[in-house]
Amino acid sequence: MATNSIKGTWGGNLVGTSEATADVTATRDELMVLLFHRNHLRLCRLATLLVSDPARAEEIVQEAFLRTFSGWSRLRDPDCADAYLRRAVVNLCRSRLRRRQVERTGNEAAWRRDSMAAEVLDDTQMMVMDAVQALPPRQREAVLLHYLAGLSGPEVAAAMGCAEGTVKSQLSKGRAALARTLRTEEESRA
Amino acid sequence: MPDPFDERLQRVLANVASALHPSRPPDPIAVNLLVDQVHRRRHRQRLVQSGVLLTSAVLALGLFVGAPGPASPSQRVNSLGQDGAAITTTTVYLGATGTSEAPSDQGPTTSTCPASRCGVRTLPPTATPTTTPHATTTAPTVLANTPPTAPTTTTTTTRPPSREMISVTESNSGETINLSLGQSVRFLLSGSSSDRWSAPITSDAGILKAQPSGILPTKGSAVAQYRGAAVGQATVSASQDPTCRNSNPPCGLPSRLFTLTVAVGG
Repeated sequence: MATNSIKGTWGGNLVGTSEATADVTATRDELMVLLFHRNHLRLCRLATLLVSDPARAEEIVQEAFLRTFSGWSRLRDPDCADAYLRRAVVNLCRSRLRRRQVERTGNEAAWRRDSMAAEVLDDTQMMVMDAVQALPPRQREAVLLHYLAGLSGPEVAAAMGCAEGTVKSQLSKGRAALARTLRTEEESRA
Repeated sequence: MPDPFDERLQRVLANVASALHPSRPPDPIAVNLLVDQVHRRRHRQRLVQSGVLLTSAVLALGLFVGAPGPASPSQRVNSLGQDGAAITTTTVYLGATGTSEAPSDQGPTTSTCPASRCGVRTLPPTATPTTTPHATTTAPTVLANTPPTAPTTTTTTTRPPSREMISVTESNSGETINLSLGQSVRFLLSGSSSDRWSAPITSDAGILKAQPSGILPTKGSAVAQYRGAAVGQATVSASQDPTCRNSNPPCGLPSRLFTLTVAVGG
């Protein structure tokens, strides 16, 4: 285990709002474990909906943790580790989709045939899932970061690495497209 | 007031995500694996950084040494006597050059130590360049503004002798060669773009261990290198198939087979 320790004020991101002002000294490994427990599940869920592949999503999240922790000394503000992790996941998903377009197409096809997804999702959920996957990448990122991760506009902009105005426009377009698709689907089913 | 569609979308997305990734405690093995991986990656980063620094330092030192002599105030010359009996370390002060000045009360100093005490393995006088062990001596170092109180000992490293490499071409097909343990054999099969050799493959990887040859074969040629790793006998084979055999209709040219038996002895 590493012996180097980090001393500082941890914000609510790491240990909760009740300890926001507490000075905590912990080893880096303990900090890693804490961050892992806090963020692993929600980042896996976000990555799953971004890349349409639960197994790949777990790999991406693991890689994001690895990169963030390996470059810990380069972080300007360790209190923002959650945001760094989110940004790393979004970037890794983006590069994965960009570089592996063929694989992505295959994954989406497999996604629809996937018995696990068909078993665990009902019709409405599957319809929403398909509609989200049909969105352009930037709109999908904005929609998932806002509606699934519950981030505000500036936080989404930080995670996507773009201006807040861009997030607003992408979110608006994505939301409109989803509403249109879902309305059409519901009308056709009715 | 929140939009009902937004609320619905938020709820459905949360349900989808939780259905695909049910809430469960993180696997402790995964956490430990992550921490371990982080340590490995940091260690690798440190190694790379130190390697880069070391290489830069060596390069800078080499450039500095390669520069003309009078630019430095002092110069230390390490020399190996022709009889190989002694190492002489001579520190010569060249006087005031540039902005610094060497101590004037200490003249040129010379220290001598026997070769055995300096840790130097001397070259045998009758050895030829192809079979002698390589002896690397440190480059002459130039130390600016360093008083001559502690002359450094010359560090010399030697490499164990490497056995002679045996080269084999396609003309040796069908022959048997004897190899010592640790000795290497290199296969150079020259072909062309129309007659391509496949890679030479050993019948027993325990006896003949593949090694990187460091040679990039030309189109159609094949290069392989094996080292005798255990006592025994193995066959290395490759085939040369004319590419017109794969055309439609295929030509009737025969394949050419290369086999070589390698006996590895102790």
